[in-house]
Amino acid sequence: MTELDYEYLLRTLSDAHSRANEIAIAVRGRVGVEHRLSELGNSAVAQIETVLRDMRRAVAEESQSAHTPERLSASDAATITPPGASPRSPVRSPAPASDPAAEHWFPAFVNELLERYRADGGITFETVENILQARKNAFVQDLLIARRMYRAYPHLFQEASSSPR
Amino acid sequence: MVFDQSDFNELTRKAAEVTLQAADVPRLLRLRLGPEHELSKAAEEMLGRLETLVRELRSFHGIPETSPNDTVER
Repeated sequence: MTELDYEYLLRTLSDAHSRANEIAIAVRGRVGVEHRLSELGNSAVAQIETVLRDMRRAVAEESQSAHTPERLSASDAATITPPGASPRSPVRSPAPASDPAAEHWFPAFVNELLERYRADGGITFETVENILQARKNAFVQDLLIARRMYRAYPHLFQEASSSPR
Repeated sequence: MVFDQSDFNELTRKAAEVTLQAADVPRLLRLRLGPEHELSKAAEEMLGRLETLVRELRSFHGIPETSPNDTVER
C-alpha cells in the first residue's frame, strides 16, 4: 500500500461515514429508532467506523514500523545483534511508490508464471491465459480507481509528485 | 405515520451514491492486500451493509428490489 492509497482510503471512508451518518439520522427521524431501516442505517455506519478505525491503526503501525530499527538492512541488523543472539529478520519494505518499474504488472506476471511452472513442473496455455486475464482485470480496476482518486483528490497527486524522493 | 415519497427517493438516491463511492474501499484493499486480509473482509462487510440499506430503502417505498443499482460491481 502506498501513502496515496492510504490517503485516498481514509478520505473516502471519512466522507462515506459522515454522509451515511446523515442518512441514518434522517431515516431514524422518519421511521423511528425501532424500525428495521434505522437498524440497518446504524449497522452500516458502525461498520464504516470499524473499517475507518482499523485503517487508521494500520496507517499508524506502518508509520511506526518505518521508524524502527527493523527497517535496517540485513547487514546493519547483523552488526547490532549481540553475540549468540539470532538476528531479527528485517521487515520487507514495500516497493517505493515513486518507482513505477517495481510496481509494473509485467515482471510480477512473469514471476507468477515461473512460480507456477516450477511448482507444477510445467504449465498450460490455459493457465497462462487465466493468469494474464487476472492481471488484466486487476490492472483495469487499479486504473479506474486511480482515475477516481485523481478526480476526487487531485491535490494528493500534486503533493505526491512534489514530495522529496 | 405518513411518509413523503420524494423524501425517501432522495434518501435512497443519497444512500446509493455513498455505496457507490464506498465501493472503492474493498476494491482497492482487495487489490493491494488480497481478499483474505482482515481489512478487505471488514470493508466487504461494510459494502454489504450499505447495499442492504439501499435495497431495503427501495423496497420500503416501492421501488422494485431487483434494481441493478443495488449491488455495486466488485
